[in-house]
Amino acid sequence: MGNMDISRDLIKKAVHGDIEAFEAIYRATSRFVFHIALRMTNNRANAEDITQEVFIKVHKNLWKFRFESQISTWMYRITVNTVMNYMRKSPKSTVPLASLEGYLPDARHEEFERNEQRRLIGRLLNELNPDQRAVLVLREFEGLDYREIARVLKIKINTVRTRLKRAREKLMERGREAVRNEL
Amino acid sequence: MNCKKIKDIIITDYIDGQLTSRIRQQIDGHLDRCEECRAFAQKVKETVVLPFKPAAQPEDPPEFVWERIRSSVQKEESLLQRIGRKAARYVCGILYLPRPALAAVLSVVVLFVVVSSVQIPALQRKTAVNSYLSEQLVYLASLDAGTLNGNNNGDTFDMGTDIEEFLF
Ligand SMILES: [Zn+2]
Repeated sequence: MGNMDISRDLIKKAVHGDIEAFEAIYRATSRFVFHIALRMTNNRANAEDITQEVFIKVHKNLWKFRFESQISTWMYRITVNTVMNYMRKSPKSTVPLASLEGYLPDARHEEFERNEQRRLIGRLLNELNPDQRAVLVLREFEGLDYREIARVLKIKINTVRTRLKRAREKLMERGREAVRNEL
Repeated sequence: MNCKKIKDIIITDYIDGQLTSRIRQQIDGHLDRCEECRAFAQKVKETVVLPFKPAAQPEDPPEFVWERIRSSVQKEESLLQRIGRKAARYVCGILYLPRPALAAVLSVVVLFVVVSSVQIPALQRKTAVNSYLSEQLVYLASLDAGTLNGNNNGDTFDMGTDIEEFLF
């Protein structure tokens, strides 16, 4: 976290309506925004909508950004909140279980197993509640440490721990069931 | 530490590399001796660590997403500009006055703009400082807690203490 190449100067330019500066910010950050949205919703079209929503919010609120925190933390927070709201507005029904298929590249033969594994992960993630999913996605896919996750979600480090623990226990339980069902 | 606590650490800090080397060694020592926990660690590895490893590389969103954002952002910018121009025209309309009067009114307007633009950022800074301070207070409180538990060794403080709060 925080290795994004966004200078204070760039942010100020974007605040003053410089669209190229804003585009530079988009280019530097849209990948992780999209990735989190994709992982959390497990649905490509939703992730695209969410990415759009996030950057429109960022554009509107950039002038409020305080330089005491890192821009990455701030953007992670906006992203997770936007995903959470999106999921609250349109729960389960827009998150079809097998939707990760649309997101995967065509399965080359040797990749088949791995794709199966990813599909399983997508299905398992759907079993978690949004809070647990957010913590797990930030940890596993974004590689944030506990302190960073706590900052992004504005929760205590021990809450990060508890949510991770519950999420993983659930994954272990569901994983066992999934394997059993496939046998 | 009993097996339950060991397992709680394994499924969190241990696999996430969040432990101090001292606690990590303790856990490893326990794993050497305890078959049950060793089996648990293995299962955790198989079911919640390895499946995430070959995850798809992050990719950029498709280009049309940026196109949609840009057009929305530009619409908003130009709306702001239009409102600005309209307001200016409106002001000029009612201010169709002889030049000295216009100058006087304009200077009042300028003064007002200057004063409010000075005050608003100051106000923002103040709220920013306030919430920053309150965050810091919480942080300091957690540091204090670390000291009380006798676990205040530099940047590992919140690992050690949190773990203890979490477990005990
Ligand atoms: Zn044991």
